[in-house]
This record gives sequence, structure tokens and C-alpha cells, in this order.
Amino acid sequence: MLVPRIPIVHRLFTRLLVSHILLVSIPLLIMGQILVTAAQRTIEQTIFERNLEIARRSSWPVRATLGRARDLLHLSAQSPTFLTSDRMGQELMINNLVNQYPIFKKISLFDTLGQEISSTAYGATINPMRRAEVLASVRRKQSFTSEVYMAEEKLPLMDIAEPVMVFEEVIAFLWAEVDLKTIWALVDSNLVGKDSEAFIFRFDGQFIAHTDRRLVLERQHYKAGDIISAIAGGGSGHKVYTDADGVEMLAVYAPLAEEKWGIVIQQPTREAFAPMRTVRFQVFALMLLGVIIAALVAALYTQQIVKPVNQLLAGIEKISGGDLKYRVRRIGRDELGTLALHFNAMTTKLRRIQRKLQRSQRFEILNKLSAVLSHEIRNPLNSMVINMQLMRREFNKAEVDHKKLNYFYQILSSEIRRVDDLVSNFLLISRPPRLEKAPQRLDDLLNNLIKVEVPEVLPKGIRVIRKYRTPGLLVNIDAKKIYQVFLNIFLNSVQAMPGGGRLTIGLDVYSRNVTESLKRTYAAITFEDTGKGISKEHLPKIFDFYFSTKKNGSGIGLAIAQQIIEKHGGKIFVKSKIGKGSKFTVYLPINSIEE
Amino acid sequence: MRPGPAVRFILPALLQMLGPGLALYPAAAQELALPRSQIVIVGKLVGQDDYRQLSVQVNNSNFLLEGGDQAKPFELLRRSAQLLSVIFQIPAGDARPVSSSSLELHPRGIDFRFFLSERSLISAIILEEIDYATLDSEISAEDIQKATTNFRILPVKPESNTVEMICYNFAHNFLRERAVRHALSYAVNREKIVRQFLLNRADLARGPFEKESRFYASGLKDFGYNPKKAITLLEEAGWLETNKERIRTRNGQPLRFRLLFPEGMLLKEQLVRQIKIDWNQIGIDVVPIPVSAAALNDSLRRGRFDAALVRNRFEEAATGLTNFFGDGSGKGSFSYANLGFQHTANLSRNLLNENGLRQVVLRMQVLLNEDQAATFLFHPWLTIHIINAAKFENYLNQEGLPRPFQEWVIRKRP
Repeated sequence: MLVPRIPIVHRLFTRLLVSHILLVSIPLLIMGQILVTAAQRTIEQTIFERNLEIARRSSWPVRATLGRARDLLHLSAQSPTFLTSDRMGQELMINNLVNQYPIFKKISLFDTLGQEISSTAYGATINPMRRAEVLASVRRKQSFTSEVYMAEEKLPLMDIAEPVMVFEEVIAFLWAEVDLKTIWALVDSNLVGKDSEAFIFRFDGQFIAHTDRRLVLERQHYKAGDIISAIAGGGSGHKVYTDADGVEMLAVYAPLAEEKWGIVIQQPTREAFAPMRTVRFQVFALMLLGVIIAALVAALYTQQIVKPVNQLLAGIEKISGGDLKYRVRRIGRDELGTLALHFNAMTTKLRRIQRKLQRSQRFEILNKLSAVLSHEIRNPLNSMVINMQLMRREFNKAEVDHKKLNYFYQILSSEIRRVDDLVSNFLLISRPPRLEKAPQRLDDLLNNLIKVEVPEVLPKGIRVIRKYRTPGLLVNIDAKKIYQVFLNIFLNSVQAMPGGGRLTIGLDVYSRNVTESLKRTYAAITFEDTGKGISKEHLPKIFDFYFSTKKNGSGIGLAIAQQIIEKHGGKIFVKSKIGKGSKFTVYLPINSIEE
Repeated sequence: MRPGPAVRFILPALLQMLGPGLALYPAAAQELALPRSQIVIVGKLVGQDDYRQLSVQVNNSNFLLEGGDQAKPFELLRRSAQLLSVIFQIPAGDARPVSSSSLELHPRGIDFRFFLSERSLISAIILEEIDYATLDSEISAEDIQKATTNFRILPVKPESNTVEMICYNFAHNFLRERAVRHALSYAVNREKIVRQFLLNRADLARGPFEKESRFYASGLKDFGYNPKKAITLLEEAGWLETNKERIRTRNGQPLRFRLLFPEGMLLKEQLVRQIKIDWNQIGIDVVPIPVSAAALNDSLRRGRFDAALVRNRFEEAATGLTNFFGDGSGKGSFSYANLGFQHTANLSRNLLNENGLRQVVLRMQVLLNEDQAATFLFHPWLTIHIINAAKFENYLNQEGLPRPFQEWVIRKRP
């Protein structure tokens, strides 16, 4: 099927396809954006709440661990066994406690004066500054809990002490060093992602436990002042901030108020909100998939719509090219299908009309031929019959006048030649000219013509003017026949100026658009005279056979000229005004060289 | 209040060890200091390593840091009480410029840093102040693994016939009694120790040699945990609970003695605490005293101890036993006296027959077992090597064991 040469952006297929895709894509994109935004908000909220809940919950085991240490020490101090035991029994108990519960780094038993009775520390010294604090507290019959401090080993410790009382009187006290390294594992269990961090710090910011142990060992401080302030105020919540390394972090925090500690779980937002990105990616991937599927479906559907249109277009091109036998195939039952049916019906009618027209043209030619024959043959025949009778009369005379006989013979010969010319002209018309094409410069051809004819026409007062706008035009033509055409037109123009005048011969290029995409270029050769002109009634007939306004004109010159030009794929036109002159224009296709 | 072990044992020992060398510090030492990137920094525990027994392996030979007659391929500098430096000598024919990249491939020296406690050492490892250390406690190794990925944690089986034990001084007025030593052995809950503190990564020991050894004595009497029998033995020996503190006494003398143990090591503290609990439960008062390895060695050598928690590797020979326990004449560090043992030990000196030697060593073990010259606790399965794999490569040999430091290759940093 011939596809019309239309730029892709202007094609019906492209337009329909784009409109179909847009019809699907735009709502899809809007829906997707709404969906992504909603999902984003939900996921954000869920992550905030989840992390915050983890932070709050993670404080429970820390409290429980410290609480258990306190409870164990408290129960031991209040245990009847402990109270009634001798030193070795008490040593046994505290050693058992330390061996069973790693949270106790060491436990010592002191009397109320602060003298060590027994210890699991095997002689390790005790800070006298802390001893004073502890003594003051236990003497008030109160438990004691110290601030977190860093041991020489760079590990966080905390002291707790419990008074040992008999009958409401403090007789001794148990003092334990609590190893806060044991809560490091608890902090580790609170990680919410690969790059997340969890840590516990004092209200002054010093880390007690951190998933990055080095920060604790190096005694570093948490520097997010507003989070520390919020925790110190008993608040919990979340905050997105940029840390010292420039990483955007999502931090959730909760206080461990009793200990004056805070717990923070933080992770880079890129990790925290990774599910959001996944959802966004999935939604956009689905949308893209939807658009691709829509595009494929639209392409197929549009193809179905456009295909019959293209078939119709191809049919129109064929018919415009003269192929009236062409029929558009059945292309469906829709409007286009009906159009195709009507189109086929139209071409059938056109063909019928064409046939009628051809028949009537034939009749017209026959009529014309019979008129010409009756006129052009009967007259010489009559003349011949008369002269034959006169010749017989002269032969019958006794004395033959040879002069007369010769005269009659001349007339007879002339009339026979006339008939012979007539027959020759018939043959010329009936046989289409056979062309022997070769590349030819048109200016050369015209110059030859002018060179030969100008000497003849100059004495008649005719001036020949050349107006070659584009000399050197090369066309593929039968030069002899085209010369004949030019000569014919030239002579006609000369004959139209009996009193002299001006004949302008022009050569130019002319382009015309055959279709939107197809351009044809022609050589335009003009013969413009200042003669008497052709009347309006004669103008449409001047290319007809045997039409002539001249006394001795045969009426075949211009007809044959038209025949030759059309055989070359060109056209010949004439414009004329009575008293002003006539202009003949011959169009010869330039690209015929390539054919 | 008693002075701490640091005051009583470590400082004197370190001062004694380092005294003469301190003159070098600091000027000369500072001049010879090498960049951190070109040395191996080895973390040592005061309780685990005796400086005088430290050696460095160079070209398949072991060189003691100090002492010995041989010429050493390194220079030793004492920078402080906690820091010793070894700088390898560059061979005469290999006098390349210091900046030569090929020279920088291998460590140019070793810094030995001494720590008082395992916890301090672990903190230093986590802070990457240390490149190499060995630990007994798997729990400590786990702490490192959780904190940093830069270190290779390499569990390695200790040399065969390494045993953890409690040694007794036969010169002690009641530890010389077999019944007391038997009671002490029966009272120690070795199963619990192995289960709770070693996470079952050790074999219970009855004698010095492991099962894989040709000298392993399978028929030794088992002194498994039996506190009742221990009490019976003590009571039969006249140790009764008459003390107001429930400590057994005999003729007014409490059943109390000192137990020396390596200080600063988590596992040893746990062991000692459990042993103390076990002995307390049968009325024996033990006073654990943490000491440095140097001080412990000195105390053992001079016989100035009651009992000691010791880890020793026994050489597979009769001399392996006699070098440690003495020849049974009572003249050794432990004052161990047993005529049968002495006779057997003497017999072993003249034996060339492998089977005969084995029989003699087995006999010596039987005698040690009968005497309970030491309460054998366990053969450890693992020693944990901690290696800074981010700084070094090529630190393991084909058997997967650490190479000598000089063969390590310093990683080129991008």
C-alpha cells in the first residue's frame, strides 16, 4: 500500500497515538502523584511512630537491668541469711552475686564507719570521695545511686549502695560497682537499620552506651543540644537534623528520667525512608508500565483506524494518476468502510463516464474527419473529375491543344498531391510520435532556431528578444521534435505580426507542488508576440486538429506541437488578447533527465 | 584497708624489672621513635605476660627481649613502665633509604604496651591503639567483634598440654597435707567452671597431659566435685568448724591461705571467685591476691606463696613434670617431696626406651595425682588472637597461625 509522504508529526497516526497516550498518561500521573504523596505521609508517620515506640520500649530493659541490680543488692542487704551470716557467709553471697550477675563489677561490704569488711574486688582501692557520699546516704537509711562515671578502663560505671539494717538500725552497707557495659548489648538490640545508631547518654551529653563503642571509650558527648534539652525536660519525640558529617538523620528520643539519661535511636533519613522510595519507585514503575501498555494498545488501535484512511489515500492517488480500475479493499463496516464503498462506486461511475467521454470524443473525431474528408477530398475530386472531362473533350478534338492538356494535367497533379498530403497528415495525427530523448540544453536549441529564422523575419519588421533567466537548462528531450514545436510556435507568432512587432523568447524554471511532499520542476519556454491576438472563441480550439484561422493553414501544426509536448510529460498553454498579442508557454519537466 | 595489688606487687615488680633501663628514657627513645604506621603495637596484660619471658621471633629464631647470650637482630628500648619498643636492625647489605617503599612493607619495630586489666586492653583495641593481642576470654573477643570490624578474631588452639591448675606450696604448714589437698580438689566445681565461664570450650583435666598426648594417663583418679567427701577428709584430718566465722580450724589455726592469681584478667577473676565460693562452702577461707605475671613467677620460683592459679604448658617428657614440680626431693619451688616420684624421676634420666619412658611418666603422673600436688582444672581449647587486619596483611602462615611480626606486611592505605 502506498503510504502518503507526510511528515511524521503531521500524520494522523502520530496525532491519534499521542492523544491516546496522553489520555491515559495524564490521569495516571495525577493518580500516581496523589498515591505517592499519600503513601509518603503514611510511611513517614509510621516510621516516626515505630522508631519512637522502639526508643520508648528500649528504655524498659535498661530500667529493668538497673532495677534488677538495685533489687538484688537491696534483697541481699535485707536478706535474713545475709544478716545472720558470718563474714565468710557474706563473702560467699556477694561473690555468688558477682559471678552470677555480670552487671556487678564488684560488691563490697562496709561497716558504718566506712571500713571494708569483705569485697569481691580482692583488695582494690575505693575512691574516698565517693565513700563520703555513700556514707551520708546510707546513714540516712537511704539507698544510694551515683552519677555515671568513667573508670580508668574507659568504661562507664555507676555505684549503688544499700544499707544493711537490723531493727531499723544501719549496721553496715553493701556497695556495688555496676558495670554499665552490660547495657551496651541492650542498646545494640535497638538498631532499626543497617546504618542506624542507638545510644544512651547522660543529661550532660556524655555517652554511656553507644552502638559505636569508640564514642563511649573516647568519652565523647552527644551534641544535639535541643534533643538533650527536650529529654531533660522529660519529653520524647522525633527530629530530623543534619549531623556533624553532613548526614541528614532521623532521631527519635525518649528519657530515662530516673537515671537522668536519655535514649536516642537515629538513622540516616535515606535509610529510614527507604520504604518510601521503594513505594515511589514501584508506583512510578507501574505508571510507566501502564503508559507503555497504553502506548502499545493505542498504537495497535490507531493503526486499525489509520490503515483504511491510508488505503483510501492510496486509492485516491492511484485514481488521480489515472488508474480508474483501482478498487479500495473492504476495510470494515464503520464509516470509513462505507466511505470506501462509496469511493469504489464513485470510481466505477467515473470509469463509466470516462468510457462515454472517450466514445463521444471518438464520434466527434469521426464527425470532424468526415467533414474534413467530405470537404478536403471531395473538392479535389470534383476538380479532378472536371479536369478529366475537359481533358477527354480535348482528346476528342481533331487537333489536340497540348498546352491545354498540360494545364489540365498540372491541375490533376496538384489535386492528387493535395489528397496525398491530406493522407500524410492523417497518418501523422493517428500515429503518436516516437521520441528519441537525449540531454539537451534548451538555450542552445532556442538559439539555433533564432539563428536560422531571424534573417527571415527581420525584413518583416519583427524583432526577436531573448530573455533567458536560467540559461544552461539541461532537459531530456527529443531535440528534433521539440525544435519542430518551437519552430511551429515561432512561425505562428511571426504570422500573427504581419506589420512587424516584437517576439520575446523566454527561458525560466518553474516549480509546482504535486503533493505536499512532492515538488516538480519544469523548464518554462515562452514565446510572447505583439501580434493581433486570438479571439476568445478561437482560443480553446487552436490546439485542435484542422483548426486554423489562416487562409492556407492546415490546422495541424499546433495540434501536433501539443501532442509532442504532452508526450514529453509537459504542457503547452496559450494566453492571448485581441490587439495586444499572444503568449505561448511550453513546460518541459527538468527531472526527466533522471527518468 | 589493704593496699591494692598494684601497690603491693606490680609496681615493685615493674620497677625491679625496668629500673636499670629507665635511664634510656626519654631522650634516646624519643629520637629512635618510629611512626605508628611502621610498627606492630602489641597489647600485653601485666597479669598474663612476664616481660622477662617475652621473646621475638626473627628469621625462625626466638630471641628473648632481655637476657641470653646470642646477638639480637633488634634494639630494645624501654620508653616507660608500660611501653617497651623493639626496633629491628636493618641488615648491613640492605641499607636502603628509610623512605623506600619496599622497606616500609614490613614492620620496622614492635611496641609492647602493658595493660593492668583486660578491660583496658579491650578498650585500647576498640580504639585501635593496639594492633595485636591474645586473650583467653571469648566474651572479651566478642566485645571487640561487636565494636569494630577492623580486627581479625582468630581462635587458635593453645600448644598441647597446656593446663590451668591450682598449685600448692608443700612448704605450707597445712597445704603439705595430702588430705587437705585432696579436700581442696574435691571441693572445686570444675564442671561448673568449664560450663559457666569457658562456655564448655575446655576439657576437664585430671593430669598435665591432654588426651592426644602419648603421655596421657587415662587411669588417674578422678577428683570430681564432691564437697561432702572434702568435708569428711578435712574433719578426719582434724579440721573442724570451731571458728566463729565458720572457718575450719585445727589447734586454733584457721584453715586459711592465700591464692595468687594473674591480675586484670576477666576469666581468672571469675575462676578465682568460683574457687573461693567452692572452698568457702566447706569452711576454707582463701584470700585471692591478684598479681602480675612477673610477680607470680617470682613468687613461684622463690616458693613465696601458699597456692597459685597457674597456666602451664608441659613439655612431653619426664622433664616437663620435673621442671615444674621439682624432682620430688622437696628442693624445688613447690617443695614437693615424694620419694616415689623422686625415684621415678631419677629413673627417667637414664631411660632411652620410648615405652619405658612412657611408663615412667605415667607413673609420675599417678604419684602427682595421688598427692594432688596440683588441682588440675582444665585444658583450654582456645586462645584468641586479635589482629589489626585493616593495617596488616600476610599475618597468617599456611597453617592459619600468626606469623612472626617481621613477616607481616603493612597494608598500603589508599
